[in-house]
Amino acid sequence: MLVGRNGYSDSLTLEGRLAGGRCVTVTVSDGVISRIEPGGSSRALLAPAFVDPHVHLRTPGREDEETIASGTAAAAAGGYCAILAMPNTDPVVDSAAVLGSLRETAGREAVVPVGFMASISKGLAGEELTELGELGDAGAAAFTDDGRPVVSAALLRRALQYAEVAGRPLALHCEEPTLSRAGHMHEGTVSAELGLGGWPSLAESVMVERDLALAAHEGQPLHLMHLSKCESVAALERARAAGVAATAEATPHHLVLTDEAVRSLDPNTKMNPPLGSASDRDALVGALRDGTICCVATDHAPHSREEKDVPFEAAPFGVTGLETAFAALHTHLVEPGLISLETLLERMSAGPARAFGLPEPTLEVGARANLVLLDLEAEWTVTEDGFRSRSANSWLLGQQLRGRVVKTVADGRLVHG
Amino acid sequence: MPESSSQPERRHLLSIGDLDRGDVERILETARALDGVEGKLPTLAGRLVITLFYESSTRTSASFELAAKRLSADTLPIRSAGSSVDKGESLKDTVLTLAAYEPAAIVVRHPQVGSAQLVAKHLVTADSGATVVNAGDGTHQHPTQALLDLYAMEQALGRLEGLHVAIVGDVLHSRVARSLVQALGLVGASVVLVGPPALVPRGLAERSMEISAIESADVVYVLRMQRERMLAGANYVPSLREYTARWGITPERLRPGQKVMHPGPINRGVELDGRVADSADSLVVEQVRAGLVVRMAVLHDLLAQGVPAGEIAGVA
Repeated sequence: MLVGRNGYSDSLTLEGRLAGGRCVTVTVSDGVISRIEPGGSSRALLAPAFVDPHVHLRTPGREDEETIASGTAAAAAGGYCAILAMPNTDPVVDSAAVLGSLRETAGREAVVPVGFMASISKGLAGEELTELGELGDAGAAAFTDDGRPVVSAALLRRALQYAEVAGRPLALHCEEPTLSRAGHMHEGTVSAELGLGGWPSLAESVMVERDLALAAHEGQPLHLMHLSKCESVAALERARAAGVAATAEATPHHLVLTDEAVRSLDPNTKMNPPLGSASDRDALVGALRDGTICCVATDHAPHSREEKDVPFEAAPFGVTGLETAFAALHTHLVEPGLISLETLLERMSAGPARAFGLPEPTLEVGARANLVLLDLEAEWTVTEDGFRSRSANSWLLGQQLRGRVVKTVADGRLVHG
Repeated sequence: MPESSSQPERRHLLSIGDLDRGDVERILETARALDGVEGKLPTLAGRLVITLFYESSTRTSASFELAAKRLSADTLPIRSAGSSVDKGESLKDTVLTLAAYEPAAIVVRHPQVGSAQLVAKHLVTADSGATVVNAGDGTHQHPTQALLDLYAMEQALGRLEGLHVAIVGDVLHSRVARSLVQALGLVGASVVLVGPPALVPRGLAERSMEISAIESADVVYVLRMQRERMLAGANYVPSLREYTARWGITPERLRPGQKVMHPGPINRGVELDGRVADSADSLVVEQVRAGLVVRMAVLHDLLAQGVPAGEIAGVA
């Protein structure tokens, strides 16, 4: 399912501290971890590399914003050894032909292995199913209409029934469009004061409830993308307690910011789903801590400078995140004691890998080397010219963060540092 | 240059939130000093005030231009129709272009929330010291309207502190209401928002869906039903007819002596009965008059802060 640049594997040694505190030297021979020995003096932390289940590579169609090469280079700089790309491109990834061409390009260009999701409905139009079986055979990593909800309950039901044939999970963007219509931010006191069209929490949570009910009825697993509201988290908890095999992700921006950030009217605080209230953010952090939400996903959404350099109301939704995810969450969740470092590392690596049936990065002799070396004390400032991504629409511009990716080894190859 | 002197953080007027009570009182005091001054004042001689309007406007554009002229500024009105905006020029490029003329101020009206902030941001990009005055950015803010409303209220009622104001109608889409609620809060007046539930958002002030809530108000501030902002099928109210029946301001719903205000343009017979608009208790014409002196006062305050208001009459 994952495809990276064909060719060589690296042999190298890495010194670092394990999460338990022990210093080790790890030897990688031809891409495989061959020895883990005590010793070494590095203060940096050595951990399994990260997996991002939600990235927009904008290819084909908007190569000015991101390419497979630039997006996977950004992933490497962010400590990722695998990413999953969304199909809402132009053309949409809704046929084996488009999927095949992307996989071929990735075989030449991808700095870290990438999996491509295919769409649930043809052209993301929400009317006809794509050929899920053929797409699964052609290597689709999962199915999603991300960027849009599956509005028709009947279509989603058919997709859930057929996903078993395709053998790949469904990942859902939950948004009730008649409730979110004309919304530019979370509906609440801040939207009332700013005069921006409000997007009520219900627009997400009623669709989460509906999608979970359909998954329960069909006895099928389901992955909920970029959860952002406490009502959605509560619905997920209830469904999981009732035995629904539902997994979910949350983004760094929803885990750190609230709708108060929109008071700046900075277009880089405009995202879909919109930033929620403080209680939404608290619920997300709690769910990430206890595992109800098992993955961090960046929803890396590059936009050209021209598109974002407009009044807030005219700006498109979305922010980048691959190169800042670990540092942002280390700074804003781990350092203040909201979640442990071990939990964060798990939710950025094994958690998403398990949710999508990808190999879990592990630090064990005999495993393919997928490793990240992190300097937890390094302080750095996020700047517009510091990105490998072709786009710079980060919500963190100008901010100082603590914790930095020093080296990344992805699929046995040193891809960063 | 006075505009880059003591208070760089308050170089622009983007929102009433940029002001504190002292700022509001100083602007109103300046407006009182300017009220009745005949002819032109030399305050802004040789300086350029650009009025950049992306939305239609009568009162606001006319009064800003006249205010700048009364202060002897050069004025340059730019309208989106007939300008490079028609050719697809972005707001950013328009600002960079206008900055090259070295304006002292750019007065901007634009249909989108956040546009005035964007203009201010790109004046920094252009290394311009110009002041931005927000003359309405979408449904967000219209700070000079709120200031002129305070001025008209104070002139009519002799005070602002302790006044009770009912704002009636489509608060949701009203930048005037947002600025006015904040401004009334700053000067110690109280507010109730009255109208259909879907058009009166929570979180701004006390709200009521009963028109009887206007009874205790000293001032009934009527908002325009913004038909052009109502998306087809949005169903904020079932019909304008039903709105008028329940929330329209008629002589029967008012006490004698209750003042009525409206930011204009009025939809007679929809939100406001024509008899009320034309009555002695209507302050609509006073609001228009106040618009001129308050906008002069705002330009004076932002661009010539060193000159105390008390000296203005003397200068004339």
